[in-house]
Amino acid sequence: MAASAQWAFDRDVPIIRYEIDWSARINRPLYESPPKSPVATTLAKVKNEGGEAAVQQLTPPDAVETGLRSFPTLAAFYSVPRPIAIESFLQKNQQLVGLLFSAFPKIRANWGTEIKPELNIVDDPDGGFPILMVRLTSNMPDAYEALDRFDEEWWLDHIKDAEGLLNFSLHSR
Amino acid sequence: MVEKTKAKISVAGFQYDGFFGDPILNNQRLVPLLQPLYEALKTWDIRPANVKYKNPVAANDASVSFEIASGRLVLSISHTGFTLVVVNADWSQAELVTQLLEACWKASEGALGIKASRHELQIGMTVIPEGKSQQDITRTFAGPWELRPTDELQMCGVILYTANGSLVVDRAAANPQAIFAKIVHRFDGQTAFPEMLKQLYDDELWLGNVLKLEFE
Repeated sequence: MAASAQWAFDRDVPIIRYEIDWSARINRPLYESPPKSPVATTLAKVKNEGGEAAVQQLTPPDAVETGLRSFPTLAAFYSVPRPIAIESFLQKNQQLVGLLFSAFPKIRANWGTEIKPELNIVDDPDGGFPILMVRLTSNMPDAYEALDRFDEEWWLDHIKDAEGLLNFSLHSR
Repeated sequence: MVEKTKAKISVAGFQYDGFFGDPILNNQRLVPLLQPLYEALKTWDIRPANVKYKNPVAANDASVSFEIASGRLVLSISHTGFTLVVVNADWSQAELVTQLLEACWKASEGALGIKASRHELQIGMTVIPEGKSQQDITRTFAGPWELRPTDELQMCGVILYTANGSLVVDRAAANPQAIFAKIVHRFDGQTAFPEMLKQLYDDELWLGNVLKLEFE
């Protein structure tokens, strides 16, 4: 049985109840910190119905974000070889973030679930300014037909929203 | 027009709860939902290791959780419905959230023949105003209290309950200089996800207008 500690709230009783089960920890150091799960801490914060301040104490200080909030989530979907440069670019061009989230399932639908699209910054050959390039590498025999489908089904409807700062390139393995 | 104070949202979480109506207490009835849901979530890179089986105690505890994007989005199934928790949430993920939840309910309808009876969406966020204190921002809320000369106001938190949800403004415990805000909005089962998220976005704008804050 794992040790557990939780704040319990009852909306009708103005008392905060704290429960802890030490039994599983009897042979382990008591100062051992529980794992810090960002999901658990945020969930605790969001789920509470009363005593907001007390519940917020559960959020560790290192949960405070300083950069683009959704970048870690985006980086879980895309391969990001130069994360600092990409995050900085996206921070300046935040309209691209929603587009990248939107594009990801379309990419997987067209090139299969094994594809890992990669984000890079390149100089636009026409404009001479930096743009974000989504590099797609696939060995599918109909990879270029898939690119046509992707263009027709999604990209051409969203190209305006990218304001010339996003493009997709397909490469064979 | 009143000038707004710029405010940075340092931490934000989103939670969705969707309810089946009557709980499905028979475990075996819930099982057929798992495979179609897993298939649907493959689009968002779900792997077997991201599927976690739980030991629920209550019917509304998670039975199975699907951890997406290294656990930054967690979709859980319980005997009473679905829960989606998003950490580091922002509005750029609105379409992602919509697609995930639509996939959930499509799988539920296909595998169980059950549609949502109601939905509840909530945002919790820590807001850091630039150049204004909590006292300045929340002073107007304290008006009805008729503070005495010896009562030095530091911050006035409020909880507002409406017919379809609630709104909390409080001092953020993690950062005493910041404001914690939580918005809860409930919808009936027929409301479409883009409409619900739009309403929640409008709630956030409303909160910003009341506090005279411009969220960055």
